[in-house]
Amino acid sequence: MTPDEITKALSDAGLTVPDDELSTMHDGVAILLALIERLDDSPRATNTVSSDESDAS
Amino acid sequence: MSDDLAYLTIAEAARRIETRALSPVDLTEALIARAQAVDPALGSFVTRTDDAARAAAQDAEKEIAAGRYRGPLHGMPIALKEAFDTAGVRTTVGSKLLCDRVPSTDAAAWARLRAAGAVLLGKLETTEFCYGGPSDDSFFKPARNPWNAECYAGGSSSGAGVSLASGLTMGALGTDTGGSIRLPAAYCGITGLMPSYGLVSRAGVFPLSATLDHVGPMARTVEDCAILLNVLAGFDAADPDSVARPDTDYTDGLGIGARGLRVGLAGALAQEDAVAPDGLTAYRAAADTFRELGAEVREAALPSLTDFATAQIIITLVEGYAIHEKDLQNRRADYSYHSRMRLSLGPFIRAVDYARALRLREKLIADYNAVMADFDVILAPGAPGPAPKAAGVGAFQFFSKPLVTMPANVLGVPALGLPAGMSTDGLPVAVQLMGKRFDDALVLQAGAAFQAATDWHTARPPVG
Repeated sequence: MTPDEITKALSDAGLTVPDDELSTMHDGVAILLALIERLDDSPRATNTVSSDESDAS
Repeated sequence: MSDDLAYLTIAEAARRIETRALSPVDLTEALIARAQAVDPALGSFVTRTDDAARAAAQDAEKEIAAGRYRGPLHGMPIALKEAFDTAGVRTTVGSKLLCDRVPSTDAAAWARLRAAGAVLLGKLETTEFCYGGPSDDSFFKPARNPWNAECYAGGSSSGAGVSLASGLTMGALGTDTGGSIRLPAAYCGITGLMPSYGLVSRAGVFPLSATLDHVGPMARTVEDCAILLNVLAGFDAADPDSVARPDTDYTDGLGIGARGLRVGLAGALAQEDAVAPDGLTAYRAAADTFRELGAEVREAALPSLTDFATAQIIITLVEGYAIHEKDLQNRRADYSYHSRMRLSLGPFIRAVDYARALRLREKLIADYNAVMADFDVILAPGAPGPAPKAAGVGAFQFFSKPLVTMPANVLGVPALGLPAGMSTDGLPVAVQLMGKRFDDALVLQAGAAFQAATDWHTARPPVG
């Protein structure tokens, strides 16, 4: 996220963050987003089994 | 007052009180006098309940004299973290937002201790909402580490760590969501147990994270933690995650020792980027101690610390934000700096991310349980190292440098923090023992064996 996007997200959430805290907030968001990227998103909703297996009940 | 009395263990004081060799009134008065003398410089108490403590101690003394001894906590002076509700006694959770809050009922854990005859000395400083700190702009100033006033006392049960290390209370209750019992225990050189999730009721305790919060005892020895846990443990319908378990005397196994115990080394948590050299040295020495005690010590292949931290941080932020959203929108400036910065990350986590964090937790639990088929306890560093300088702790420090205490919260397993050495700068360093869920007795047994073989838990800071 860009600094402007972070500022907008905070505003959209109803949080008023003074200018002198924004830079540190940006650092925190960057760390958080890096952690979120580590999260495993499997299993996906997409059907990945073969057509034969998908027939099994 | 002699240090001998200030630093009595609960076990020894209870023996003297039961035989009427020690008066609960005298013990309580001695601790009050010591707090009056030294706590203004330490700040471990937010509220002291001196008059009520005197009255409770007198009642205990009369009951014991009349032959109605209730057990080892009868007449025992203890103190509570500011997150525990106490009827008629201010409970602020360390925040300006709740600075005038006076609950009408007791937290379940304190109600159990009170019914066992414990005497309440007062309420102990916590970092704001058990998540902030150490912030200079806190409405209640952070308690100061008695080993070095410039150093962090650990959070969030800071006051508990400071008061126990300084000989101001016999025992205390803390809470732990990512290390808040074990970090102040490590930084102050005392002993703290985070019990299994569901073993001790959290009813009446201000929450941070509904699925990661734990309530537990803090004291100066493993035996004292076991004595407190004997009273604290038990099902409570008022805590939705409370679990009914068979009655257990947690002091029963304390003399068994460690011979034959299968001790796993948490190499995945003992990494140089997560633990300072002094902490790693103490961890390796503790492993040697267990070998000398006859334990079978070998490496355990635990999941990575970063995976544990990812789950802990995201779950805590979401569940914490759910509690604080309205106040952050309306009164954000009334929060202290560190807590408002951390909690304001809540809106950046999507529902799907929270769901994935919960799924990661389930995977970590499954992986841990598979590893634990071959082990009784896990030995790990107890903290990132000795206490850091308080001024140097950043708002997001433990987000970028995961805490070795976080895995036990994610797993819901017991974790016992133990003093295990001194740093080159003269500060305490610690290890922790983790077990299987509801194997609290075995963790305490291993911890008691360690304390029987070492004397790090008897080190005292230069106070009073």
